[in-house]
Formats: sequence, structure tokens, C-alpha cells
Amino acid sequence: MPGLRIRRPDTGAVILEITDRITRLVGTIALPVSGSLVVDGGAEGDVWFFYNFGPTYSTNQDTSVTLSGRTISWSNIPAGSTLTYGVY
Amino acid sequence: MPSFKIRNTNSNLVIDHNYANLGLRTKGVVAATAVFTYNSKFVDLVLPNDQGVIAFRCTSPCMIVSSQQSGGNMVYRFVVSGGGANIEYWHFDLVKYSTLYNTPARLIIRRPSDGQVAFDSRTPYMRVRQFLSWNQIPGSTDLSYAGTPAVVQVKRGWSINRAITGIPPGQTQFIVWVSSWATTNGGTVNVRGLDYMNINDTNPNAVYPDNNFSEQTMYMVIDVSNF
Repeated sequence: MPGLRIRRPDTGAVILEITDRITRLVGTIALPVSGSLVVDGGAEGDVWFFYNFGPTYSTNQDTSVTLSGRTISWSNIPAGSTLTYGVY
Repeated sequence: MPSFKIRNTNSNLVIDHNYANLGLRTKGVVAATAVFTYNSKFVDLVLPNDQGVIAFRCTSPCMIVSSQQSGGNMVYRFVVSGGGANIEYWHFDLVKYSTLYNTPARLIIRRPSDGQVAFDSRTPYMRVRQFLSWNQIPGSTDLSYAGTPAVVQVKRGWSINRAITGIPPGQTQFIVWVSSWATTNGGTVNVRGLDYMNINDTNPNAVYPDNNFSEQTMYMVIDVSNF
């Protein structure tokens, strides 16, 4: 099978297989209070994301973040929050 | 300037000169020892953070009940049901914070535009195996993976069933049902449906949504083998 395999010389552990679904970071944005984002940009694979709430976040705050297809939507987000997203 | 692209057997792009990913910044083990509520313990983990993603493994049901920026740090509050079990964590962030594998052999791909490194095989890159989303987790669900899976709690599900003010005086007590307990054992990740905890809040001005629920619970599963 054609491909590329990268191993750690010290342990022999496989770092990367060309047949892998590799994880890619597409971007990070500062989140406004509400909005949405379509993850495309020519990137391939399924969407992943993670958000870090800002310093004013309360555990009781009724925030909303949803994923539908390749669209990430959010509302009622505390100031200073960020969204990191990509594909895998 | 020539560009560089590798595609897999499905013709999907794997690596090119615009590759970007997060890398492992730090890892460690903490124990939840402080009393939280409802037979559970918590620990606050404070980590330097830029654009971090945190993954964890725990042999007891575990969740992150809050994550909050504080200066240049992120404070993650882990709660473990029953307490006692250690929490292993892996914190991924921008690759400039990563410690590279100590090896002379490497594959490095640079951006033609500015010569900056786009990919370095010595970097312990984050490996997403699955992104999971439920409107309601169906009871207790086991998911199996090759390698060593760790859980990233992207969004905690909850449902507030009732809120009572003034019990005890000056406090608000409410019962919140949460659906984000995750347990890892070997290659298995277990996620559990709704469970509840009583929470007292001493903030007399707090306002809670009554009889409300979140629309989605979301996890990522990360492979942390060989990190």
C-alpha cells in the first residue's frame, strides 16, 4: 500500500500514518455574544471545536453553543470567550 | 516556490504547506479531594493557557463543571463522582508551547510564503478521533477506540428541574441534572445520561433558568497514545 509512515526513532511509536484522518486547526476567533460560523475554507473532514469562556463566565449562565452540519452557532456568550475549531 | 500536499487513499488532504494543529503543551495527574456535593469531590486545575483544549481520563465518572480564564491561566474545575480516583489530563495549545520529541529524524514542511514551519513530525499533535453530539445521551453508553482515548468535554448537558429560593436563608438551592459524566477504562469511553446534584449558591442575586434544559451535549475523543 502506498503511503507515508513516521515513527519516533526512540520508541518506534507511529506518529503519523498517511491513511490517518489527521486533525487540522482551521482557526480561533473571539466570540461575540451571539453568532454562527460555517467551517469550510477548503478544509476537508468532519468538524471539531472547543470553546474557552471568558473571565466573566458564571457556571449558572445560560449559554448556548450548537453544531448542525458544519455550522457552529452560539448565543449568550460571556465577553472574552474564544472558539477554536478545525476538522479531522 | 513549490508547494507540498499529501493526500490519503480517499484523496482527502492530509498535510500541505498550510497545515496547522494544536500540540501537547503539558500533561499530568491530579486528584479530586475537596468535597463538592452529592458524594463527589473536586479539584481546580490551573494551567497557563492561550488557545487550549483539555482532555482527560478517569476510571471514575468525571466531568468539568466549569472552565474560566483568569489572567493568562485557565482554571478547570474537575468533579469526580465518589472522589478518590486520579484524573490524567493532556493540555493541547498552540504548537509554539509544545515540547518536541527528542529525535534527530524529522519531517519538516515550511510555508513557501514566509518559510515558517507548517508541520514538524517531532511535534506531539492533537489527534481527534471523534466528535460526539447528543440531544440527550441514551442512558449509559460505551464507546470503544483503538489506542488510548481521552475525553474532551466540549459542552455539558444539563436540565434544571426546580429552583427554590431561601433554603437555607440567604441562599438559592436548585437541583440540576447533568449529563456529562465520562469514564475511561483502557480503550473504552463511557458517557452517562442524566444524573443530579444539589447545588447551593450563596449569591442572593443569582438568577437561574427554571425548568430548562440544554439542547446538546458534546464531547471530543482524543487519542493520547504515546504522549
